[in-house]
Order: sequence, then C-alpha cells, then structure tokens
Amino acid sequence: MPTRTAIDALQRDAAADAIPATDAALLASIACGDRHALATLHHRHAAMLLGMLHRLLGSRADAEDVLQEAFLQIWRKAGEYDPARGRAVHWLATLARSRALDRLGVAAARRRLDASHAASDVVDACGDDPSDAATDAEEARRVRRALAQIPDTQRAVLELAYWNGLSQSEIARRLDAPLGTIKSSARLGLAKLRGLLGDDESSQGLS
Amino acid sequence: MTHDDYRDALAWHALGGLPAPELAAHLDTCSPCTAELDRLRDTAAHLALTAPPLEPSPAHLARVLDAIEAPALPRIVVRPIAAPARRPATRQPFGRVLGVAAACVVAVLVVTQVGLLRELAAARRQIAVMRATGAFLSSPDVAIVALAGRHAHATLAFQRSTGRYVFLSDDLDPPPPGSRYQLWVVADGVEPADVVVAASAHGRLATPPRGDAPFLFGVSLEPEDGSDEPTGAMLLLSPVVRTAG
Repeated sequence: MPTRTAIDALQRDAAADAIPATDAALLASIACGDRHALATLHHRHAAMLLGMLHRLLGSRADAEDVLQEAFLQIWRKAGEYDPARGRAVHWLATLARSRALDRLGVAAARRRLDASHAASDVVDACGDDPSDAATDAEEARRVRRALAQIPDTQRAVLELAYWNGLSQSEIARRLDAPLGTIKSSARLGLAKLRGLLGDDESSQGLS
Repeated sequence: MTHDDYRDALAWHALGGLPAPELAAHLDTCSPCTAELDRLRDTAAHLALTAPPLEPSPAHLARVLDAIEAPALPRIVVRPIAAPARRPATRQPFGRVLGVAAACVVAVLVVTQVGLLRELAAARRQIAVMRATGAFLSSPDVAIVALAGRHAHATLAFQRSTGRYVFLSDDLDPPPPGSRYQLWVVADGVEPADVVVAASAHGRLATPPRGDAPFLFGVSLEPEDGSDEPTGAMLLLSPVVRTAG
C-alpha cells in the first residue's frame, strides 16, 4: 500500500518543480511553440473565459467559437504579452473580449443590454465548478467583494461599459445622470477598484 | 493639454471605448499616459472574472490543438499549358529495344504501385487510428488533462467510466535502458495507473480514479519491472482533477 511519505513527496515535487508556476511562464513557452503549455493555459482559464464570452454573446455555441479563435490568437500572439503591462490572465481576458466585440459589432453589442443580463442568469444554473479554475474562482469572489464597495453609479458605469458596450451618452440616459458624471465615474470607479484590489495583487500566483 | 486632462478619456478607453483622435495622437508620444492606460486596462480586466464560469465542451481543447496543427493549405496556381505541336508519326527502327524499355516501364510501375498500395494501407490505418482517437476524445465523459514538468509536457485524455486513456507527449525523452515511465493516480494514496513506455501510449488505467474524490496524475521514471509506489521524482504532474464520476 502506498505510504503517506510518497504522497508528501509528490506534493513537494509539484510545489517545487514540476508544475509551471505562472501564466506568464506558460505564455513564454507558447511563444516558443509549446502546445502543451497552451493546453495547460486552456485547462486553467477556459472556464473563466467561456463564462465571460457567454455573458457577452448570449450563446454558448458562439462563445465556444470565439473561445477557440481566442486561443488560436493566443497561440500566435503569446510573444507579444509583456508582464510589465499587466497580469497574464487579464491579457487573456482582454484578448478574448476583443474577439467577442469584433463578432458582435459595437452596434449589436449595444443593443444587447437586456439579453446579456438574462444570459448571465442562465449560466449560473449550468456552470460547473471547474477544479483547475479554482484560483479564478477565488479571484472572482475578491473582485465581486471589491465591486460591492464601489458607489452604485460608478459600479453601474463600469458594468454597463464593460459588459454592454454602451456609449457614455447611452449610460447617461440609462442612469439619468449628467454626461460629466458618467465620464468621471468611469475614472473614479476604476481607481476605486484598483485601490481595493491592489493591496494583495502581488500575492496572486497567476502572473 | 496636460496628462490630467486625459484622465477621464483614458479610463473610458480602458473600458473599451474608442479613443478620440486627440487622445490617440497623445498616446503615441506620451509614455506616462500609455503606462496609465495599461494599468487601467489591467484593472478593468478584473471584471471578466465576475461572469459565472462555464466549462467548455470536452472536445474544445482538441479542436483548438487540431486547428493549430492544421497546416495552411498550399496555394495552387493553375497556369494554362500550351498544347504541343503534333509531329508526324515516324517508324521506330528499334522496335525490340522499345519493347524491352516498355517491359521495364511496366515492371517499375508494378513495383511502384505495390509501394503505393502499402503506403495507402498504412495511411488508411493511420486515419482509422485518428478517427478512433477523435471519437474517443469526443466521448461525453472524456476529460483532457495537461501534465507538465520542467523538461517535458504531456496530454492525457481519460474516460472515467471505462478507464480508457490516450497519453501523448512530444518532448518526453525515451526512458534510459532498464527503466520506463510509470503513470500514477494520486488521490488518498498513490496507486500505479499503468506503465507508459513511450511518448505516446493508450490503453486502460490499471487503477482508475474512484468516486468523486479529487486526484491528480503523475509520471515518474521507474525500474523496468515497474513499482508499487513512486521511487523517482515526478517528472510530470497534472493539476488536481475534480471531475465528477
């Protein structure tokens, strides 16, 4: 029967040596043509990215298509990732979101205000708890806690802009607020979010 | 205008808004504002994590890898070919020589055809294997797990219901003489799953993961006869797998 010592040795190996520690390292390997690094990155973040794409596009089939396009783009552009400019997981999310917005077209994205909220509710029911996206899940909880601490108008501006692609004027009309307030709310909201998330940013293991 | 005058516009741009031409021109020459835009984008990207995660279909990764491996189709250029001018038929004085030459040509064609048929049969076998692998990878309860180590990587697809697996690695060196790679399932204990003798292998896991308990896969270098528990360092490890049984 295997001994506990053997399990401890395995876990020690995993922690010390065998598993690439960071997404940035995986992207560097992908830039050198390492398909397995791409598979590892997919294993780690595909669920998070697919959730985001589903919320943006409202269709699982479209979301999976765009996710595939995004990973092909990651394969081609991994060498362009610069750790000094931000965390790798955010680079992935930004790249995937851009693909989704390309597919929607800005005008279509803006028309999808109500549908996208409905879509996010549906995802809750069918979303798994992907084991290897555990770090993403922890990070998501942290972000949600931070967003909850942001003033309502600032949070609404961030979410309407990010998820619905609304223009500043459209957000002003929807929130019945002056345009100047909307413009400053985007800046203040991001600054507040950065402040709330920034303290332990360096401790995150994803980049 | 100063950097402060662009603060609101930078934040909006970071959220995905198109920059005004003036801001775009400013960003071309202002590194502090470019750096601030990077920071704002990094902050905005946190929002992506708040969408409920959604697990891709089991075959999604295989489709991505297939698309990567698919070579670009060669570009075919069709050029018109001028018809050769007809020559009047002339009588060949060396009929026998021509007969021998024709026999040689036939012989070469037969040999070539036999070779081609063999290659065709091998290609058909390869296609059958690929089809079977594709069908396996598309099965509903097949999970694909990436294993990684300092010097090698691998992908393991396995089916919980049957224990069948396919193991693939491009960069796992052949095991030294007298040793072989061994695949392990690490859960409550460490149990040998199978013996992986080469960079690619398939079969059934000797000890499939049981129940819903989380586990991971590992590959170590072991003596040729195999081991009951790992004696060497883990060269490859997967992340923890929590696939429901």
